Amino acid sequence: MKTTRNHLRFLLPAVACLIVSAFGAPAAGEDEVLTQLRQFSYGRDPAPLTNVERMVATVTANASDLSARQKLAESLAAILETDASYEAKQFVCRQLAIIGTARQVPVLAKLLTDDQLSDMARYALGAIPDRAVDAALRRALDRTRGPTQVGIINTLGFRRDRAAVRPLGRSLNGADRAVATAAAAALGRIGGAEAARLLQRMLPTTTGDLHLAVAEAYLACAEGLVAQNEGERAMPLYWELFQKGQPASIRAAALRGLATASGAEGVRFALSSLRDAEPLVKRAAIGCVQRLPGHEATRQFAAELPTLPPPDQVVLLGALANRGDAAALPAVTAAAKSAEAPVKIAALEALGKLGDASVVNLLVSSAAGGSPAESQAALNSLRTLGGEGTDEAIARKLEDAPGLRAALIRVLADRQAVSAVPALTRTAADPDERVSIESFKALGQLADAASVPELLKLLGRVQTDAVREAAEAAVTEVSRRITEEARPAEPVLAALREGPPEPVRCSLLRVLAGIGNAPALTAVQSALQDPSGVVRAAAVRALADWPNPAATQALLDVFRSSQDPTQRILLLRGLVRLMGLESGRTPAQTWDLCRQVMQQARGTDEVRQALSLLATVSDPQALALVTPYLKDESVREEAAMAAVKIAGPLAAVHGDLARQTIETVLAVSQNATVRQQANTVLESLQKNEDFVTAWQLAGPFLENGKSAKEIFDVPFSPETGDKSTVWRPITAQGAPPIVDLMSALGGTQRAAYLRTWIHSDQTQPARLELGSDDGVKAWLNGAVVHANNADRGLVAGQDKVPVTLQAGWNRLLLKITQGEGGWAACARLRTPDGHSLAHVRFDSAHQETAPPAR
Amino acid sequence: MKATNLNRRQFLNASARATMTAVAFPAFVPAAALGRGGAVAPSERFVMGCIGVGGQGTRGMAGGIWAPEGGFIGRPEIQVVAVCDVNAHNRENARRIVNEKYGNQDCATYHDFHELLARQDIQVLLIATGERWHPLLSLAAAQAGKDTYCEKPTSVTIQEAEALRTAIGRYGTVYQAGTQQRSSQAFRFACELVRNGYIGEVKEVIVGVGGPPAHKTCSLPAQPVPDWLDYDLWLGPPPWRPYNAAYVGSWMAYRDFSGGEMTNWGAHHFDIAQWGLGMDGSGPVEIIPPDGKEFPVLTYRYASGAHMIRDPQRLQREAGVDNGVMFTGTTGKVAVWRYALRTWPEHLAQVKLKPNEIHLHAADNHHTDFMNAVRSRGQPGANIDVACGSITVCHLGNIAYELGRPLRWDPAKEEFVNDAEANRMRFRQMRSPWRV
Repeated sequence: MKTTRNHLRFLLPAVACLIVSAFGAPAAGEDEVLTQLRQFSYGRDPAPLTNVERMVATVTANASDLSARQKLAESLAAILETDASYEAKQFVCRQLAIIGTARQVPVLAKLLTDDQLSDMARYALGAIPDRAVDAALRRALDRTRGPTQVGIINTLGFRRDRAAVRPLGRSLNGADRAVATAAAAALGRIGGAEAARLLQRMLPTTTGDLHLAVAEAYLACAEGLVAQNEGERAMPLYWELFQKGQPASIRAAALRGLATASGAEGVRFALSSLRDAEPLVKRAAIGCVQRLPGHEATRQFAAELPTLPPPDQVVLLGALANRGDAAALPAVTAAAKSAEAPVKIAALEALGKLGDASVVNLLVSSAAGGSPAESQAALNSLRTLGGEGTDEAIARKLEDAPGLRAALIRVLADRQAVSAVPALTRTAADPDERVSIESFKALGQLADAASVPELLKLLGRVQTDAVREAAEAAVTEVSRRITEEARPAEPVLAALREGPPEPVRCSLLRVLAGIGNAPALTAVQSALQDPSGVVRAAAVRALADWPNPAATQALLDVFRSSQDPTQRILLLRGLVRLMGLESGRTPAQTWDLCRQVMQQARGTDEVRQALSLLATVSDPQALALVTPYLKDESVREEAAMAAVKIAGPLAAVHGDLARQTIETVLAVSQNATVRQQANTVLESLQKNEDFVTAWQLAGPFLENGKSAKEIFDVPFSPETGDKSTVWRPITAQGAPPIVDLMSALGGTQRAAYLRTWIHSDQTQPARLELGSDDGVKAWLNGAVVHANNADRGLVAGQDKVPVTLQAGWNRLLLKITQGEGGWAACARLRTPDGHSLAHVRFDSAHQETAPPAR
Repeated sequence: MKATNLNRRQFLNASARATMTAVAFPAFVPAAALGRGGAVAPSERFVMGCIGVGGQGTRGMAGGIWAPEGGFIGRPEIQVVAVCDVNAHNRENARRIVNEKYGNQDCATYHDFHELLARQDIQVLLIATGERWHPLLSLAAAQAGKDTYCEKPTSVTIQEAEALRTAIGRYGTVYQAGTQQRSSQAFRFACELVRNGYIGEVKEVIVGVGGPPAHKTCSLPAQPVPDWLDYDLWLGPPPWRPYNAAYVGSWMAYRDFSGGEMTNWGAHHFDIAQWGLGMDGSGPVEIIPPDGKEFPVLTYRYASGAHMIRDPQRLQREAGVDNGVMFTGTTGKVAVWRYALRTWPEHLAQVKLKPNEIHLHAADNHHTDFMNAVRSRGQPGANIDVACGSITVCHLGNIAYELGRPLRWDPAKEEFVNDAEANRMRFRQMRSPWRV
């Protein structure tokens, strides 16, 4: 409904009298506040509103002091009887909705007939739990019309005022359809025999929206009876609404009511309606199948299955599955043998929700002998089947269904069927390679420490490489789950000490590499001296595959002494991989390792590997080592790739070096991938250029009880030039470079300061582009150039401020406030039209010479 | 009351005969309802209308982070035929997107939702207005027998959510709240770990979300209403105030329109807390606003003894994020956020549930979950009982903040215990003619 009844009245005067907020000014006395409130209009200083809100909050927080609350309510209500502004009265009604009592009802009641303020009077009155309110609303009913009357009817209905039934009955018969519709809805909320009688009388004579409202209200009356355990009395109402000719949604709702209220017969109602001509009614019937309680209901619905056409059987099977009642199991089991494929599949799916160990045979035979879709449905249901002894029942089928063995083993693994471990150790030795591999995979998931010796025995007997790989993975996986205190490598080391044949020794070394703890590393290092060359090679490979940086030094040592070119490449690859893992190394240690590797690298292949190692080190020194190779044609592209990978992360703090490097790469590289990546770094450099990355940080600063908004204008020591302020360096990270104050300082309702110095070769106009989470105030050379007391997330450049850079050093100071959540800032300088700024450089460590901020 | 000419026996007998004759009759639902793969003829698709097609509505309709398959119009079983918005720019933009998708000019536009709801051909709805409209529109959709996917938050007050729950129960339509974390594997798994006792008995839940809206009332100056906006219909049930662009652009900052971050993100993360605690359809028994002493942050107490706090800073310290949920039990912890999960001890993250353990409603796409329920007439994950319970938790927090004192809540009766003042805040009278 459209109404613009208030709007124009306020538009022009409100704009005209917009004044700056005096937020934070000293609180006025109560009388003064209320006097100010009377004059309030939209666009004016909201201080009177916030002051009164505080007064209301004070009295509500102190629940025991009723007199203070009553006094405030009376003072506020008195405003309603003055010539106070509309806005003031609207605001007062809001407050009386919180603290008003029966005493304020008379004054509020007078406003009910005021078309401008009636809504707000109801806003307050509707909240006051006193019968005087209902009487006032009823009195206003006959004295209002149109939308105002509709509002009053809505509130009477909301309050379920039984005394309003008769007057509402008159409204129901009135000429205004909106009023009649509201009256119908209100009668539905109030309910009772009299309301139902009035509504019933309207059912045959109404149409359209009014009829829908009457029918819905009549439904509500029926629901009221059901809620009072008088379902039998509700039945005639539902039945009347279920008749053909009523709107489909009403018939659907009536069916739900009939099915629920009629006890045992509800099932028959639902079943009969499965074939109603109205789709909405059919859907409601299916809904009933899912919600009517009791095993007997389940059995009755299930018994209906064979009588339905296949598409509806599918839907009913889904509904029975959703009921989750095993009473449907016999019928669903029978449907699983249906000749209709969709029915069969739906039944197999339903068995997964309803069945237990008793349907394992059926599901296994369907999985073995059915179509691919049936087989899939059966296997899925085997995965989810509940009940006692189900895992064991499935494990027993491993013996009977050789063709399905691998699939059933996967099912057991998915079921976390620990009890199947003994059966799986038997199938692990199955002559069918697929079965054996699946068994080892499952054992890797399910077996525990006690099974490791048995798994090692199985590993010793395997015949093919594929099975051996699966067996090694299983032993590794189980061993890794054993805590370090329980010495996870011990069973494997014990097996190794027994001196097994060469292939098994190799297997055990690979397993030790998977376990990756200190005893395992010692054993693998010892195996480097094994008399068998094959075993020694396996030990080298195990080292190269080591899962953590503990083997780095051992790899480097072997690399130094090894003369075998293949082995050296293998070791280098291992080093590259391990250097990429998290470790406790300092940057200096990392750099030293890289330097050693470069020194030891021989020939083109090794240099290539070494370059890929350097590519993992984000350090200018690494770049210095790589750059000479850009001139070596044999490794140029590898050097170029390494240079790009190093330059990328360096861009934020060493922009010039990164740019130089990328430009060199683009001059020499012919490789499309390298060039593409180099261009990406270059674009990012251009996009992020001129951002300040190096800052000094001071803070956090806060004042007890004050919010971020309030401390925005509190001058903390960095603003006053207090020499005792402690500054520390901080670097903006990422692209664009952002200072993450949440990580650096954390907390809420506080502020921090960032400062840096900008050197400009000449006096020039510039644009300071700021991003902040939350508020930001900026000073340039001591003068405030920007203030935005915002509560927001950071977007780079969200505030753009014209500034003038003086020739020489310029001091930039930012204050960043933090309400809640994230806390961050970023800044850059551009030309006034947003291009790169020439002749400037930044230095966060420049000596303080500028005057304090004003 | 007049006696009705009721002959139930006759009705049932006639029905039984119909069953016996088993004459052919149409299937319950379109062919698409049976999940048939491949192309679906337009005539066999579910017909959808979209109300509220601004940012979130367009993303839901045509694709976004939670609907990578291209939103509802990207689904072969859906045919969007109409869009409705009080903002003409949004309306025209949505129409263009739909028509481009289908390669025709058939998408109808409405600025008044009544007209869209009156269309008999529309079976399913996407509602993505501001939450002041969510309960009214979802309720009207239920009255019209239409299934509804409605973005969160479910309501602005507790009573509105309850009224919607009554209507959905009455008409038996499908309702899915747009709390898509219910269809996320990580959130589900976190809750399954908690529900199956992997962290022991739950002692504390930390919820990382922002607080209530910044403004209780409205004081902004009047501005001319733009010609592309039906402002009165935009405003809807809250008290009247003159148009100001800030309301339309930042309605979430105003208590009349929204519960602020308490309901914006709270609808997600308090919902996950409820799920993990096994409190769907129920709630806490006490709500304590920050008191600067024993309770520095908003605290909820559940009957089980578990505490739930809103404390993004602590979540940041403990889990490394300030937006998410963390459950702490007697033997372990699990934290979950978009889109990651962290457990203490770490190996809990590798747990695989056995068939006989508690498995929560499994869905990996919130739109798909909704459509599955539309087909089966079952319940989607974020059904109205779930949505009503979770949004009530958010509203309870806002009421505690507003009253500034501890409140006791009876989740069964859905009312504050012996606290008339707090009970008033469960509802608000709506501007005429609106009601729920």
